[in-house]
Parts: sequence; structure tokens; C-alpha cells
Amino acid sequence: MTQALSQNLQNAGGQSAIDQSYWSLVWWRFKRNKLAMAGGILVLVYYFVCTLTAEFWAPYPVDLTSDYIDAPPQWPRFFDADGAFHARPFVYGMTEEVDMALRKRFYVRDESMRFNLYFFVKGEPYKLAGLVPGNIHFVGTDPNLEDSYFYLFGTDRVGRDIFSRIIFGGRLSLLIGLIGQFLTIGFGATLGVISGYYGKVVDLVVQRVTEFLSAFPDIPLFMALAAAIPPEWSPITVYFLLTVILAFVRWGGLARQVRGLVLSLREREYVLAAQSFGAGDRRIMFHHLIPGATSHIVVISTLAIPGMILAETALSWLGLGLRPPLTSWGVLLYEVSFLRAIRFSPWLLIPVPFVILVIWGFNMLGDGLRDALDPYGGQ
Amino acid sequence: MDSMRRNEVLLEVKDLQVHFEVRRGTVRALEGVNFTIQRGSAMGIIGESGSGKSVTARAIMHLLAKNGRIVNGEILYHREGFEGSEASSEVIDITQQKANGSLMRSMRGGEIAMIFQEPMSSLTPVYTAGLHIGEAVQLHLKPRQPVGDQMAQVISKQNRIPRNEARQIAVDMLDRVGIPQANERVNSYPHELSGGQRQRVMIAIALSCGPKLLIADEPTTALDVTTQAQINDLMLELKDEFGMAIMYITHDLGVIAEMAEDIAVMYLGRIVEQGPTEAIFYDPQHPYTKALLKSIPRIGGGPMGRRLEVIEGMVPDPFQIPSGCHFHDRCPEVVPGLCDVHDPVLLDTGPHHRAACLLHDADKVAELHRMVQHG
Repeated sequence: MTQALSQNLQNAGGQSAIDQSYWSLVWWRFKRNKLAMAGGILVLVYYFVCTLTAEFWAPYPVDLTSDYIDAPPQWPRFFDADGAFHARPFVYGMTEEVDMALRKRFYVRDESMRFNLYFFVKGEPYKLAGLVPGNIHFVGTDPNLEDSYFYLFGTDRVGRDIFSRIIFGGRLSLLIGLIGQFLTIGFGATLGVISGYYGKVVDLVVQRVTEFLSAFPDIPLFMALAAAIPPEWSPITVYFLLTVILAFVRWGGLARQVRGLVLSLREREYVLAAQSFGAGDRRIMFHHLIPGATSHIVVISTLAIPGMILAETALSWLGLGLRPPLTSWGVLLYEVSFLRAIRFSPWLLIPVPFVILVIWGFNMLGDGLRDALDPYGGQ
Repeated sequence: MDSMRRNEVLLEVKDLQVHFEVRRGTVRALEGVNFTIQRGSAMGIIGESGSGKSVTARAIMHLLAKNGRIVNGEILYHREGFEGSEASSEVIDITQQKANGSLMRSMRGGEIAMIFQEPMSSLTPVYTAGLHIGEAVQLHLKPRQPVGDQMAQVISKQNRIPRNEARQIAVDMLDRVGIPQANERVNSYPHELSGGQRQRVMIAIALSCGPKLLIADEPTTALDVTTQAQINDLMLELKDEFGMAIMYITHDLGVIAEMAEDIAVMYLGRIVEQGPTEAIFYDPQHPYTKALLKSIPRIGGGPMGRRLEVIEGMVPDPFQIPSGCHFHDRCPEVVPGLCDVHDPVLLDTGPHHRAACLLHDADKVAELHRMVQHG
């Protein structure tokens, strides 16, 4: 009996010790940071909605034009003009008016037209993430009602639904952040570990290059590189090249951090031990040193992704990054780069809060990860 | 190991000199070290900090720090051919190999394995015990039967042992080194193991590829005494089982008496005395060895309240090494005019027993006497 008891105790003790692995501790600490959790969830929702299931959430396809040019947002309502409550939200239709003084068409709310909003309605057919076919959209007007429409955030100058375009634009902008950051990790971690491990001349060269890149003003460098992309190349190639350019300009910081860490890690006894049982340089660098830098790489990367997204937005806004027919947040904002647009269709600026929100989410997530992964952090 | 094999030479170190370049100049860490290790034997190296014990080990592994250089000497490793066939055995001079060449890499771990002082930090924190052993196994061992046909060999990366087999070897090895519940422990990360268990894992890694020489660089210094004894017993047990030689480096005289058949005593980069363990302990010939032995505390040895004997002075600064015999300024038997002038060499003082002390050099002593008599 005593034996069974001690066996039990041993099991219980062993179990809890094994459960408390480094990553479970990190997760436990991360969970307690509510702001970071919120940021993390926000980021996950963004990626889920925009990159995986954009077709479902967007009421209209990205390039579907309509007769309503520069139409203002139609806000969903529960109370009609008479103050009566309706359980089903609805939007009012619009009629065209011409302002003779400005020689411009305007759309005004037409309270005689009321379009009820339905969830999970049949709409334009699509392929989810280009793979799964479907035609159900999250929200829309009655599909049987001809001439009904719902432009939550209005339309642009060729009559495309801005809400849908924000969701689709997020796909490219968010992916450029993610893919670009993976490339950055590839360049940065590899060069950082090589620089730190070999030291001497290699270190000198890599460090001078990173210094050069970080000293060089970002925007002119982007411009020069982006301008070097031949205009006749397909938009997808341009997209890919832009990702590479962003990663190429930004790997320096990561490389430095990894190098610094490797400088201390390579003196650890386990590196000598690995050498002593015959591991080569490459194995030591990529199997024994880089894993030790993982937590740093995760944090730096999380905090760097917003920079990537903003850089894409800025470049595309300048007309140097992505170009139509590709749709990204930068491309959407490019349309607001004229005073006329801000004056007459300010709803074109609605993508901005969406960009701000995801960047806030990333920063909160990164901060939370940094606190959770920092072994010396206070509670 | 039968006695015939025991007389076969495994490793010969000849006149090994290692220098380190540091900002203040050159440190002569090893100044002509000579010794031989027989197959299946246990040789101990003992000495104070800075005497060059670890440098010797590192030089054999060809893993000196970046500023270290082998300036002279040979390290001859007698590699055995397959199934002991004489024809294919060869002698490799480690000093002539590229430190990171493929030959050296296959020697490390495959032929010569090493375990370190700090079991706490010798394991990569992100890998389990099993992955550590598996890594070594996959680096060195080849599958006994070729994996299927030519095609399958190409597919299985460079003819490596498959992962699940490597894992099985890891479990067996952990079991052999006495880790309980090896099947579960194989998935433990270093921080989940105790110090003794980590050192056992290190031994398991070192032995997993069947090395012919195990260099143990103060393997038990960081462990408590009970664990020390267990680890040392384990090493002796496995030495006979695997038929490998051990080069045991320590500053602990008590441990070395138990572990080694032959002992080399080092002082400031030189071997000052070497011989069979009994001879060193019961009939030490060099004043340094005598002083070392006297400084061991003994229970019931001598009258109560007697002070522990110590060796006078400190290990000299590496840049101000005394002339002549390096030990003369701390030596209780120093002879002025002799010890500070001449460099001692190892002289036979008994069967297989040699000491580098000028007092054993009859010619030099006689010469000194003549000089003193003639004024």
C-alpha cells in the first residue's frame, strides 16, 4: 500500500513537473494579460476574416461595379423615419440629385425605399480563398428583390462597395506583413546567426551592411527598389517582389538581435558539447543556437509586422507599391490622395480605422508576448 | 578487454605544445606534454587550475578556443579498422587535421567522446534527452543493414539511421546509464532532469556511438558526493562493458585513485610525474605530487587539531612563469642554483614511473656539488 501511495505521489509530482514546460508557463502568463489577449484575438479575427474567408464576409465581389458612383454610406437602422421600431435592420435607398452649382451628382437618402438586411443570404457566387465554392454571404439585402443594394461604407468612384474592398484589401495587406516577416526572419536570423557564430570578418561585413541598411532612409530606398520593378510585370509578381523588397530593407534589426544573442549563446557549454560529439557548424547554428533565440525572434517579428503593413500602405499610397487591379489597403487609400476625394467623399477614408485597429492589435500582442517570454520580467 | 588488447596503444601525445594569444602576450598553456593511453585503460590527469588539463583534452578533440594554437607536437590516434583487421587500421595525427573537416567531425563523438564539467549547461535546453542522443547517433552510426535498395538509401538521408530507431537506441542508452523509466525520460527536457541525471544523459550521448576513448573533463565536480560516486562507478562499469579507454581529468585526488590505472600529474603546462596509480600514491617522487598528497584531509590521520598542510604560494601568473623548474618557488625541497637554472626532464624513477625533478638527475646534482666545492 505504501508502495502504491509513493507511486501515486511520484506520478503526481512527475506529471506536474512535466506539464510546467516553458511554453505552458509562457501561455499562462500571456493569458493573464487581458490587453494582449484582446490584441491577439483581434489579429486572429483579422487574418481569419480577411485572408481565409473574405468572400463570405464581403457582401459584394471586390471588383463588382454598380451604377451608384461615389455613393455615401448607408447606415443600418432599426428605427424608421417615423420612429417606429423594426426588429430586422434595414437601410434606406438612395436617389440621385444634381447640384447645378458644383455640376456634380449627389446621392441623397430616399426614405420611400427600404431594404431589409438579411444574414446568410444568397449572393454572387465565389470561391472561398480561391478554393471552396459557395454563394452565401454574411449579410445582404433580399436576393429576390431586384434593385436592392447595401453599401455599408458607400462606394468609390467606379461604384464598388468600399466595405467589401476593405475586407479584400486586408487580404493582401495582412499577407504582405506575414510573408514579408517570414522572409525577414529567413534573412535576418540566418545572417545574424552566421555573423554571431563566425565572428571576425564575417561579423564585420554583416554588421556594416545592416548598419548601412538601417542608416539609409526607408522611403527613398523603397522608392528606388520599387521603381526598379518593370511596370509590365504581372501584378502578382509585383506583389511578390514588393514583399521581398520590404523584407530586404528590414532584416537588419532582427539580424542584430539574433547576433547579439548568439554571441552569448555560442559560449555556452552545450555548444562545445555539441561540437564534441561531432556536430558541424551548420548543425550547431541552426539546431542549437537559433532555437535559443526563438522567443526573441517571435517578439521582434510580431512587433515588426505592423511596420510591414504600414510600409505597404505608405508605398501603395504613394503609387509605388501595389497597383490596381490588386486591392490592398494602400491601394484603397491611394484613391483619397486627392483633395476632391476628401472634400466630396470622405467615406473613402474609412479603411484608415481598420488599419489602425489591426496595428494596435499587433502591438498589444507583441508587448504581451515580450512580457510573457521575458524570463526576468516581474509578475 | 583481454590483456593483449590492453597493451595496444590507442593515443599517443608527443611533445604537445599549445599557445594562446591574448592581449598581454602569449600564454604557453602546454609546454611539451607526452603520454600514451592504451586501449581499454583508464588514465588520470591531475593538477591545479590552469595546469593545462583541460587544454590537453581540448587539443585532443581539436576544439581549442579560437586564439589557441598547437605550435608543436603530435597527437597520434590509432584508428581501428573494421572487425579489427590490421590492414585497414590507421594512425591519424589529429594536429594535422582541419579542425572542422569531416574526418575530425567523424572522430569527435564517433571515436573520441567527451563529457564536461557542467552537466547543467552541457545540454541544449530546447531538446529532449532522446533528441540529444538521437542526434549523435544519426551523425555517426550507419544502419547495419543497408536500407532496402539503392533508391531507398538515397531517400533515407545519407544513409542515416531512421528516427524511430535512433529513439530506440536512446531509450536503451538511458537505461544502460541507469536512468529509471527510460522510456518516459527520453522525452524529458534538460530542465526536468536532476544534475546527476543530466550527467548520465551526457554519458549516454558520449557512449551512444561506441567511442574508443572517453575524455571526462571533471565530470563530477558540479555534483554532490553521493552522485559523484554513482557516476564514477557507472563510468568504470561502462568502460569494461564497451571496452573503451578513459582519460579522466580532475583535481580530486580521491576520485582519481579510484578511477585511474595510470596517473599524470600536471603543473603549469608540463607533466611533472607519471606512473601507475599505486606508485604515485604510495611512492611519489616529485615534490609537487608529495605536497598534493599531503594536502588531502584525512579522517583520523595525524593528531587532532593539526593544521591541514597546504602548498605554499599561488599558481604563478602565466606571464611570469619561474625559470628552471616551474615549481621551484613553491617547492619545499628547492635547491638554489639548481632548480631555478635547469629545466627538469622526465626521468625514470621506477617501473613505468617517471618524475621531472632535478633532484633525481644525478648528473645535474653532481655538477652542482662540484661547483659548490670549487667555490
